[in-house]
Amino acid sequence: MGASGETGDRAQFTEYIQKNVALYQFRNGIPLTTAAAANFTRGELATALRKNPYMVNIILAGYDKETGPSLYFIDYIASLHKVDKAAFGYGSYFALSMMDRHYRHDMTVEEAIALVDKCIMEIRSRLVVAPPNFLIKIVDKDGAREYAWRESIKDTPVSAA
Amino acid sequence: MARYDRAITVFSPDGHLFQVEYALEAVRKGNAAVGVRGTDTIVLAVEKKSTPKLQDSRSVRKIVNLDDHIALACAGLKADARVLINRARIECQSHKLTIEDPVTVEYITRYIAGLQQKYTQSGGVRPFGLSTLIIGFDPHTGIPSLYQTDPSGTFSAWKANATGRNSNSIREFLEKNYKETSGQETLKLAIRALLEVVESGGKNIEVAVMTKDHGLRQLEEDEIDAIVAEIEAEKAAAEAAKKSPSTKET
Repeated sequence: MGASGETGDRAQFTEYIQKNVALYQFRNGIPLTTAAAANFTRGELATALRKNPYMVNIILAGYDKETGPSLYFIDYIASLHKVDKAAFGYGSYFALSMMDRHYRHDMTVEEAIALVDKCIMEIRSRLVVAPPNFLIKIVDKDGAREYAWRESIKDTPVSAA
Repeated sequence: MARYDRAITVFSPDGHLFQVEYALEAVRKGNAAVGVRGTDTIVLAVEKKSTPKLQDSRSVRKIVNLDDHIALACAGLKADARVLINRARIECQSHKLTIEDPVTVEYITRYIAGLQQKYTQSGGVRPFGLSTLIIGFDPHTGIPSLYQTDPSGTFSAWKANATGRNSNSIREFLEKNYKETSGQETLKLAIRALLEVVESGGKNIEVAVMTKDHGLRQLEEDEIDAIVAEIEAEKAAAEAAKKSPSTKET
């Protein structure tokens, strides 16, 4: 689950979803499917929407043995779409255009990483308030894992005075 | 006495809470359950009463996960168990959410025991009719633990314990034969203890082993059969060894 938005809501909401997904697994002996998790997430956002909305945008990625990988776009007013490519924020204007041009449904992992890198390059060059560092994660049959960092600003040790 | 056993909140003149004691009776009628703590392994073994032919035995799991590192087995009213297990599972996740750490075995045992105690001090409710055996590894130190709770809400840690039917005979056996074990030895000790009161065979016993690295693993029927066969062979060898010195005397 990748999330953006209000910092407190972002942390609280995603951790809440994480723990409820884990609870489901213990109660029922099998993990939630990606579709079920996405619908649960959207449901929680929708319930809170008219009272105390969570200002969090979410891109949910999951892999199910039967149906393969799937991607869900869930925005802060609880819309839910199953998609092949998604982006949030000001950078989305550039990233989505890049993906419109280069995305193919039969891309390999390497080609997909190359496309992600193209999007990052666009964001870095076009956005005035571009974030300096990016983290790429991959979700597949072996679960979710960190793939690489794309850092403009690294942690540098500060020499003592 | 008849007047002091209806409502749970009423003490009898000699200091008994009869409803709680009747709940303990219900536990004594439940299936036998054994827990043994080793140095790197903890084993739970539960008696499986003869399953009806048409029942899908996979839907009747007697040893359950509360979290990745905690498991529970119980003796007594299974419906009450479902409620308690559900609350415990929620508490495990809730604790992870607020404290950002998995529960310790002692914490969740205290929680379950606290829940059982609450229902001995309220009006209009009855106690949970079950005793639980809770096993797990401490998430930080990796030390294995075995705890037991009962309907009165008391709990304590054990090296090995039994609850349910014939628990006294099993406990006696464990007191005589317990020693620090690890791995396969712990598993054999638990099964040997249960076999004291249960008919031998993989289809009469449900066994689960918890290790630090692999969590809870339920044993397959043929695995259990193999170990039971090993135990019987060892017993037979021990009997033979006992007999042969006496024949030499004659």
